[in-house]
Amino acid sequence: MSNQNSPILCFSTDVPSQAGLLQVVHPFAEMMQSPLALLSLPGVETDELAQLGGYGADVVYRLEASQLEQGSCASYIGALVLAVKKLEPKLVLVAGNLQGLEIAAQAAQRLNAACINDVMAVEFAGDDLQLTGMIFSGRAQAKFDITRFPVFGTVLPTSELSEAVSADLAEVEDLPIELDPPQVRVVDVRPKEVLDRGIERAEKIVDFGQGVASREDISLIEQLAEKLGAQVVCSRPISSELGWMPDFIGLSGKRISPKLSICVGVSGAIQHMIGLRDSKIIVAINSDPEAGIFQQSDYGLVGDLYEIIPALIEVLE
Amino acid sequence: MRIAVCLKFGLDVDEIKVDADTGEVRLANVPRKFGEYDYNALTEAACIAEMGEHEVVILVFGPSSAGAGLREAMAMGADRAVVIEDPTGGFSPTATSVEIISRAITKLGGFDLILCGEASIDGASYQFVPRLAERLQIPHIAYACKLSIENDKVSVERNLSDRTETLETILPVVVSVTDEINQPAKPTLMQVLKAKEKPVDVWTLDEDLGVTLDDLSQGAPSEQLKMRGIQVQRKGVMFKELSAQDAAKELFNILQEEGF
Repeated sequence: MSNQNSPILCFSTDVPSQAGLLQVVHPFAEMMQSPLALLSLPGVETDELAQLGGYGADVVYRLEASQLEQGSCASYIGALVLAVKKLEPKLVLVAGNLQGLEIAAQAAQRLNAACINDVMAVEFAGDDLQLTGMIFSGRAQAKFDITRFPVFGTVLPTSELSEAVSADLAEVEDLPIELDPPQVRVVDVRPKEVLDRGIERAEKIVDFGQGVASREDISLIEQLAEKLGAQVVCSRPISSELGWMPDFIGLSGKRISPKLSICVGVSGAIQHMIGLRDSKIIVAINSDPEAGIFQQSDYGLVGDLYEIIPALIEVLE
Repeated sequence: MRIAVCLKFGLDVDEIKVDADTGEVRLANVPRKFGEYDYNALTEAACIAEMGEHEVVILVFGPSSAGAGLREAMAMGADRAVVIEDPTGGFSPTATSVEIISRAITKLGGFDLILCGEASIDGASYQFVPRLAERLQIPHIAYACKLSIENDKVSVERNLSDRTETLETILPVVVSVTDEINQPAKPTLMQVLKAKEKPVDVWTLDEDLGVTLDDLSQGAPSEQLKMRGIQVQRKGVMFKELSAQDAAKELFNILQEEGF
């Protein structure tokens, strides 16, 4: 097995999520008895990076590259590969936002490395490093024996930051690299106003899917949520295709674990349910008794949501 | 312009059963289909092709049963399909699929535009497109919700969680698309009938690409060991045939009992 001191390197394209990323990765570093290094995008104050020691970072390498086009995945992939070549980590964990998924995969391809999605566990079997990751859209997990290093993986940073694991500040070093101009250029960026609706912190949610027929009907869902003191969330097509909601719950969306999830007009597809299957209690309301969601809920009501929800709102008065 | 669309005939993951006691994952007899985003990619290809009489070729690396699902896909606007048979029956890892599809692309003379769905319906690793682009040494743009091509200039708009970006590059390029880019429509009967005349070539690894899976797995960077289903045990209590009022009361009681 190679150098015990080679670090775990982690990276996120989203600077605010760096602490949450470290918090998730830190237990892996402890398990591997490896130093934990964060690769940071440029433009972050040294003091701010040093504070990340509180979340387990031993060292933060801040990228320094004149050609690093901010926000360009094509640049980030090049930067990550160069950093990996310089720092020689055994394991590289990338925050699994949309950009992270493509960056990790392409960097892995460039280095002829494996890339394991949704890394859940890291362990040694004798001298062999094994990573457990999700497969089949989260329907299953698999253990992978790693035969070449570095190995890449994706993880989701937590949004629930806990107490600091260390009082030490992280060392901060600038990492100068030379990049070629990327072949894909970012010509326009329009930031979105991201409302923090507190979904990840919500104890109760009402989740709706394509059983809700029109945008106007969402008010029914909202009324129910209000009576319950719950947040309203939805499946991907509602947000992505229809644009009725700013975000969604699912494999490529938010993943939450509230105490109560009431799923209304949701079929139960794994790509959506993975986003809330850790709920303590799931209640489903669906007109189709064969809907897959009923096997994934604690309580299921077969019926028309357009009749049940108003009745429920009344009962809750 | 030559356009390739890579489709994956993947497992219907919602049909994968997991043994509640052992965690065993039952993959036998799980039906397969092309994914939602595959159809978005195909529709986008057809749309672009219509504007200039461009050729659209569907590429599939998968089980031979993919052929059955292909007729409808062909009818949505492809001129030709090449199905490369996967000796594992559709269980090859992404890196293998990338290698094989890229060899097929090279054998077919390369393409200007390679379109794919953002992720496959089963693996959903989001790795295929960036890996394919790297392997082909051409740029890629992922998660396109708008795509326009003028001469050889490519412009893509994409929605990320905190921003919308416009990216540009020049052909050749690999582009993955999301469900936002278009609304695929079921082909008309006329289109389905016409599709019957379009060629579907079935290739095998050794005869057509001169490679075996063993060749490709030499020096693989990882090996998948065991798999275990992820299943959260739920009570599964169901209430059917209740009136809306009774259902509401039942739910109210449940919420009370559960302490909400």
